[in-house]
Amino acid sequence: MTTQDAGVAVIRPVGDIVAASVPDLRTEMRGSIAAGARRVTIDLTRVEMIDSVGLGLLIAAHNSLTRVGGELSVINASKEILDLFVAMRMHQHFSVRGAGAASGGAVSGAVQPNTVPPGAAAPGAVGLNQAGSNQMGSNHAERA
Amino acid sequence: MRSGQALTETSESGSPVRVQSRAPDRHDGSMGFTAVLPSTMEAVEGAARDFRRLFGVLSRDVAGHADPDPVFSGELLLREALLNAVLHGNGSEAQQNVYCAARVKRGNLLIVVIDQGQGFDWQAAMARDAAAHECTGRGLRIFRMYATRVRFSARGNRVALLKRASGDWKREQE
Repeated sequence: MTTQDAGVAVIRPVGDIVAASVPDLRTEMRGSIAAGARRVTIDLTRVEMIDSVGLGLLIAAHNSLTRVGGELSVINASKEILDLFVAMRMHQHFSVRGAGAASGGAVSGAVQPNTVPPGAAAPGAVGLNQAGSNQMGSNHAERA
Repeated sequence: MRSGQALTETSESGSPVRVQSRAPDRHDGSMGFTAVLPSTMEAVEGAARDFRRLFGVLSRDVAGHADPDPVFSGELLLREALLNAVLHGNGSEAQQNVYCAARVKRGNLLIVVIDQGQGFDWQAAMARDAAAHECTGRGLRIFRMYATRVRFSARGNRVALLKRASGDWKREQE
Protein backbone atom coordinates (compact mmCIF):
# COMPACT_ATOMS: atom_id res chain seq x y z
CA MET A 1 0.00 0.00 0.00
CA THR A 2 1.37 3.40 -0.99
CA THR A 3 0.32 6.95 -0.27
CA GLN A 4 1.89 9.69 -2.33
CA ASP A 5 1.66 13.45 -2.33
CA ALA A 6 3.87 16.26 -3.62
CA GLY A 7 6.98 14.19 -4.19
CA VAL A 8 6.61 12.27 -0.94
CA ALA A 9 5.60 8.61 -0.88
CA VAL A 10 5.02 6.30 2.06
CA ILE A 11 5.11 2.62 1.21
CA ARG A 12 3.70 0.18 3.74
CA PRO A 13 4.63 -3.40 2.79
CA VAL A 14 2.47 -6.12 4.27
CA GLY A 15 4.44 -9.25 5.05
CA ASP A 16 8.10 -10.01 4.77
CA ILE A 17 10.53 -8.26 2.43
CA VAL A 18 12.22 -11.38 1.14
CA ALA A 19 13.23 -12.92 -2.16
CA ALA A 20 9.73 -14.15 -2.99
CA SER A 21 8.06 -10.78 -2.35
CA VAL A 22 10.75 -8.42 -3.62
CA PRO A 23 9.57 -8.32 -7.27
CA ASP A 24 6.16 -6.89 -6.29
CA LEU A 25 7.64 -4.36 -3.88
CA ARG A 26 10.24 -3.35 -6.47
CA THR A 27 7.44 -2.63 -8.92
CA GLU A 28 5.62 -0.53 -6.34
CA MET A 29 8.72 1.46 -5.42
CA ARG A 30 9.67 1.95 -9.04
CA GLY A 31 6.16 3.24 -9.74
CA SER A 32 6.34 5.74 -6.90
CA ILE A 33 9.64 7.15 -8.11
CA ALA A 34 8.44 7.23 -11.71
CA ALA A 35 5.40 9.18 -10.50
CA GLY A 36 7.68 11.82 -9.05
CA ALA A 37 8.33 10.75 -5.49
CA ARG A 38 11.70 11.94 -4.28
CA ARG A 39 11.30 11.36 -0.57
CA VAL A 40 10.27 7.75 -0.15
CA THR A 41 9.56 6.29 3.28
CA ILE A 42 9.22 2.57 3.86
CA ASP A 43 6.99 1.88 6.87
CA LEU A 44 7.90 -1.53 8.31
CA THR A 45 5.08 -1.71 10.83
CA ARG A 46 3.79 -4.93 9.30
CA VAL A 47 7.12 -6.45 8.29
CA GLU A 48 8.67 -9.19 10.42
CA MET A 49 11.56 -10.35 8.26
CA ILE A 50 13.97 -8.91 5.69
CA ASP A 51 16.52 -11.10 3.93
CA SER A 52 19.58 -10.21 1.84
CA VAL A 53 17.48 -9.79 -1.30
CA GLY A 54 15.21 -7.36 0.55
CA LEU A 55 18.26 -5.45 1.81
CA GLY A 56 19.49 -5.30 -1.78
CA LEU A 57 16.18 -3.80 -2.88
CA LEU A 58 16.49 -1.04 -0.29
CA ILE A 59 20.04 -0.28 -1.42
CA ALA A 60 18.86 -0.14 -5.04
CA ALA A 61 16.05 2.24 -4.08
CA HIS A 62 18.51 4.39 -2.16
CA ASN A 63 20.85 4.45 -5.16
CA SER A 64 18.05 5.39 -7.53
CA LEU A 65 16.67 8.13 -5.28
CA THR A 66 20.06 9.59 -4.50
CA ARG A 67 20.81 9.86 -8.18
CA VAL A 68 17.76 12.09 -8.71
CA GLY A 69 18.34 14.14 -5.58
CA GLY A 70 15.91 12.17 -3.49
CA GLU A 71 16.05 10.35 -0.21
CA LEU A 72 15.00 6.99 1.22
CA SER A 73 14.06 6.45 4.85
CA VAL A 74 12.80 3.50 6.84
CA ILE A 75 10.52 3.79 9.85
CA ASN A 76 8.85 1.53 12.39
CA ALA A 77 11.42 -1.23 12.15
CA SER A 78 11.24 -3.96 14.79
CA LYS A 79 14.15 -4.41 17.16
CA GLU A 80 15.33 -7.45 15.20
CA ILE A 81 15.24 -5.59 11.90
CA LEU A 82 16.96 -2.56 13.44
CA ASP A 83 19.71 -4.86 14.66
CA LEU A 84 19.96 -6.37 11.18
CA PHE A 85 20.25 -2.92 9.56
CA VAL A 86 23.05 -2.00 11.95
CA ALA A 87 24.85 -5.33 11.46
CA MET A 88 24.65 -4.84 7.69
CA ARG A 89 25.57 -1.14 7.99
CA MET A 90 22.40 -0.09 6.18
CA HIS A 91 22.00 2.85 8.56
CA GLN A 92 25.11 4.36 7.02
CA HIS A 93 23.19 4.83 3.78
CA PHE A 94 19.78 6.08 4.83
CA SER A 95 17.74 6.93 7.90
CA VAL A 96 16.50 3.91 9.80
CA ARG A 97 14.16 4.31 12.74
CA GLY A 98 12.47 1.93 15.09
CA ALA A 99 8.83 1.64 16.07
CA GLY A 100 7.23 4.91 17.15
CA ALA A 101 9.46 7.18 15.08
CA ALA A 102 7.04 8.06 12.30
CA SER A 103 6.00 11.39 13.80
CA GLY A 104 9.56 12.53 14.23
CA GLY A 105 9.34 12.74 18.00
CA ALA A 106 11.61 11.14 20.53
CA VAL A 107 12.33 7.67 19.30
CA SER A 108 13.20 4.60 21.22
CA GLY A 109 15.65 2.49 19.34
CA ALA A 110 16.25 4.96 16.55
CA VAL A 111 19.47 4.62 14.62
CA GLN A 112 21.10 7.89 13.75
CA PRO A 113 21.82 7.89 10.05
CA ASN A 114 25.07 8.78 8.41
CA THR A 115 23.19 10.15 5.46
CA VAL A 116 24.64 10.25 2.01
CA PRO A 117 23.83 13.79 0.82
CA PRO A 118 21.28 13.94 -1.97
CA GLY A 119 23.07 14.03 -5.29
CA ALA A 120 26.20 12.42 -3.90
CA ALA A 121 25.43 8.91 -4.98
CA ALA A 122 27.81 6.22 -4.00
CA PRO A 123 30.21 5.19 -6.75
CA GLY A 124 28.50 2.93 -9.20
CA ALA A 125 24.97 4.00 -8.31
CA VAL A 126 22.71 3.86 -11.32
CA GLY A 127 19.25 5.04 -12.15
CA LEU A 128 15.98 3.26 -12.67
CA ASN A 129 16.25 2.88 -16.40
CA GLN A 130 19.89 1.96 -16.67
CA ALA A 131 21.10 -1.57 -16.94
CA GLY A 132 23.37 -2.51 -14.10
CA SER A 133 23.65 -4.59 -10.97
CA ASN A 134 22.80 -1.88 -8.50
CA GLN A 135 19.51 -0.54 -9.71
CA MET A 136 16.07 -1.53 -8.51
CA GLY A 137 15.58 -3.98 -11.33
CA SER A 138 18.65 -6.02 -10.57
CA ASN A 139 18.55 -9.68 -9.75
CA HIS A 140 20.27 -11.49 -6.95
CA ALA A 141 22.96 -12.41 -9.40
CA GLU A 142 25.91 -13.11 -7.20
CA ARG A 143 26.31 -15.72 -4.57
CA ALA A 144 24.80 -14.16 -1.49
CA MET B 1 4.04 -30.89 17.24
CA ARG B 2 3.69 -34.61 16.87
CA SER B 3 6.69 -36.61 15.85
CA GLY B 4 6.74 -37.25 12.14
CA GLN B 5 4.03 -34.73 11.35
CA ALA B 6 4.32 -33.38 7.83
CA LEU B 7 4.52 -29.59 7.87
CA THR B 8 4.43 -29.01 4.15
CA GLU B 9 3.50 -31.51 1.53
CA THR B 10 3.53 -29.46 -1.64
CA SER B 11 4.82 -26.06 -2.60
CA GLU B 12 2.62 -23.42 -4.20
CA SER B 13 4.11 -24.38 -7.55
CA GLY B 14 2.94 -27.93 -7.03
CA SER B 15 6.43 -29.32 -6.72
CA PRO B 16 6.89 -31.89 -4.00
CA VAL B 17 8.31 -30.66 -0.73
CA ARG B 18 8.99 -33.36 1.76
CA VAL B 19 9.23 -32.06 5.30
CA GLN B 20 9.42 -34.18 8.39
CA SER B 21 9.24 -32.69 11.85
CA ARG B 22 10.51 -34.19 15.04
CA ALA B 23 9.01 -33.82 18.47
CA PRO B 24 11.50 -33.27 21.31
CA ASP B 25 13.61 -36.37 21.68
CA ARG B 26 13.09 -37.89 25.11
CA HIS B 27 16.77 -38.66 25.41
CA ASP B 28 18.56 -35.54 24.24
CA GLY B 29 15.71 -33.00 23.92
CA SER B 30 16.56 -32.24 20.31
CA MET B 31 13.86 -30.99 17.96
CA GLY B 32 13.78 -29.98 14.34
CA PHE B 33 12.89 -30.85 10.79
CA THR B 34 14.41 -32.06 7.57
CA ALA B 35 13.20 -31.26 4.08
CA VAL B 36 13.99 -31.93 0.45
CA LEU B 37 12.93 -28.93 -1.62
CA PRO B 38 12.77 -28.04 -5.29
CA SER B 39 14.86 -25.02 -6.24
CA THR B 40 12.07 -22.46 -6.16
CA MET B 41 11.34 -19.33 -4.16
CA GLU B 42 8.02 -20.86 -3.11
CA ALA B 43 9.86 -23.78 -1.55
CA VAL B 44 12.20 -21.40 0.32
CA GLU B 45 9.15 -19.55 1.65
CA GLY B 46 7.51 -22.80 2.70
CA ALA B 47 10.59 -23.95 4.60
CA ALA B 48 10.96 -20.54 6.28
CA ARG B 49 7.31 -20.57 7.33
CA ASP B 50 7.71 -24.07 8.73
CA PHE B 51 10.79 -22.97 10.65
CA ARG B 52 8.96 -19.97 12.12
CA ARG B 53 5.96 -22.09 13.06
CA LEU B 54 7.96 -24.89 14.64
CA PHE B 55 10.57 -22.85 16.48
CA GLY B 56 8.21 -19.99 17.28
CA VAL B 57 6.09 -22.42 19.24
CA LEU B 58 9.22 -23.68 20.93
CA SER B 59 10.18 -20.16 21.94
CA ARG B 60 6.70 -19.27 23.19
CA ASP B 61 6.64 -22.37 25.31
CA VAL B 62 9.52 -21.01 27.33
CA ALA B 63 7.95 -18.10 29.14
CA GLY B 64 4.44 -18.01 27.76
CA HIS B 65 5.26 -15.34 25.19
CA ALA B 66 7.28 -15.15 22.03
CA ASP B 67 10.96 -14.37 22.27
CA PRO B 68 11.45 -13.47 18.62
CA ASP B 69 15.19 -12.97 18.60
CA PRO B 70 16.40 -16.58 18.29
CA VAL B 71 13.59 -17.34 15.88
CA PHE B 72 14.42 -14.29 13.75
CA SER B 73 18.13 -15.11 13.70
CA GLY B 74 17.56 -18.76 12.92
CA GLU B 75 15.03 -18.07 10.18
CA LEU B 76 17.31 -15.48 8.63
CA LEU B 77 20.21 -17.95 8.55
CA LEU B 78 17.99 -20.64 7.06
CA ARG B 79 16.66 -18.27 4.40
CA GLU B 80 20.15 -17.17 3.37
CA ALA B 81 21.45 -20.72 3.19
CA LEU B 82 18.45 -21.79 1.09
CA LEU B 83 18.74 -18.74 -1.19
CA ASN B 84 22.37 -19.56 -1.83
CA ALA B 85 21.50 -23.15 -2.62
CA VAL B 86 18.51 -22.38 -4.83
CA LEU B 87 19.77 -19.32 -6.70
CA HIS B 88 23.46 -20.00 -6.98
CA GLY B 89 24.07 -23.66 -6.20
CA ASN B 90 21.25 -25.06 -8.31
CA GLY B 91 20.79 -22.05 -10.59
CA SER B 92 17.03 -21.91 -9.84
CA GLU B 93 16.49 -25.12 -11.76
CA ALA B 94 13.35 -26.41 -10.06
CA GLN B 95 14.12 -30.04 -10.78
CA GLN B 96 17.33 -29.75 -8.77
CA ASN B 97 16.79 -30.50 -5.10
CA VAL B 98 17.98 -28.80 -1.96
CA TYR B 99 18.29 -30.76 1.25
CA CYS B 100 17.93 -28.87 4.49
CA ALA B 101 17.83 -29.76 8.15
CA ALA B 102 17.30 -27.55 11.19
CA ARG B 103 17.64 -28.88 14.69
CA VAL B 104 17.79 -27.40 18.17
CA LYS B 105 19.68 -29.37 20.75
CA ARG B 106 20.71 -28.14 24.17
CA GLY B 107 20.06 -24.57 23.12
CA ASN B 108 22.14 -24.76 19.97
CA LEU B 109 20.58 -24.41 16.54
CA LEU B 110 22.22 -26.33 13.72
CA ILE B 111 21.20 -25.74 10.12
CA VAL B 112 22.58 -27.85 7.26
CA VAL B 113 21.81 -27.08 3.62
CA ILE B 114 23.10 -29.05 0.64
CA ASP B 115 22.57 -28.26 -3.04
CA GLN B 116 23.33 -30.23 -6.19
CA GLY B 117 25.46 -27.58 -7.82
CA GLN B 118 29.15 -27.45 -8.63
CA GLY B 119 30.06 -25.51 -5.51
CA PHE B 120 31.99 -22.25 -5.34
CA ASP B 121 35.09 -20.64 -3.89
CA TRP B 122 33.56 -20.08 -0.49
CA GLN B 123 36.83 -18.99 1.09
CA ALA B 124 37.16 -16.05 -1.28
CA ALA B 125 33.47 -15.24 -0.95
CA MET B 126 33.58 -15.29 2.84
CA ALA B 127 36.53 -12.92 2.82
CA ARG B 128 34.73 -10.44 0.59
CA ASP B 129 32.37 -7.74 1.82
CA ALA B 130 29.80 -6.08 -0.43
CA ALA B 131 30.63 -2.47 -1.26
CA ALA B 132 28.23 0.07 0.19
CA HIS B 133 26.33 0.65 -3.05
CA GLU B 134 26.12 -2.97 -4.14
CA CYS B 135 22.74 -4.67 -4.05
CA THR B 136 24.10 -8.19 -3.64
CA GLY B 137 26.75 -9.97 -1.64
CA ARG B 138 25.26 -9.61 1.84
CA GLY B 139 24.19 -13.21 2.45
CA LEU B 140 27.59 -14.40 3.61
CA ARG B 141 27.95 -11.34 5.82
CA ILE B 142 24.71 -12.43 7.47
CA PHE B 143 26.32 -15.83 8.04
CA ARG B 144 29.30 -14.15 9.66
CA MET B 145 27.20 -11.82 11.80
CA TYR B 146 24.48 -14.22 12.94
CA ALA B 147 26.05 -17.67 13.07
CA THR B 148 28.41 -18.77 15.80
CA ARG B 149 30.14 -21.08 13.36
CA VAL B 150 30.03 -21.44 9.57
CA ARG B 151 31.39 -24.54 7.88
CA PHE B 152 31.38 -25.23 4.15
CA SER B 153 32.31 -28.49 2.52
CA ALA B 154 35.50 -28.32 0.47
CA ARG B 155 33.48 -27.93 -2.74
CA GLY B 156 31.14 -25.42 -1.20
CA ASN B 157 27.79 -27.05 -1.93
CA ARG B 158 27.14 -27.94 1.70
CA VAL B 159 27.00 -25.43 4.53
CA ALA B 160 26.52 -26.08 8.23
CA LEU B 161 25.55 -23.11 10.39
CA LEU B 162 25.70 -23.30 14.16
CA LYS B 163 23.89 -20.70 16.25
CA ARG B 164 24.49 -20.89 19.94
CA ALA B 165 21.21 -19.61 21.32
CA SER B 166 21.08 -17.77 24.59
CA GLY B 167 18.46 -16.71 27.08
CA ASP B 168 15.10 -18.40 27.23
CA TRP B 169 15.62 -20.65 24.26
CA LYS B 170 18.75 -22.14 25.76
CA ARG B 171 17.15 -22.70 29.13
CA GLU B 172 14.19 -24.36 27.44
CA GLN B 173 16.45 -26.96 25.93
CA GLU B 174 18.42 -27.79 29.05
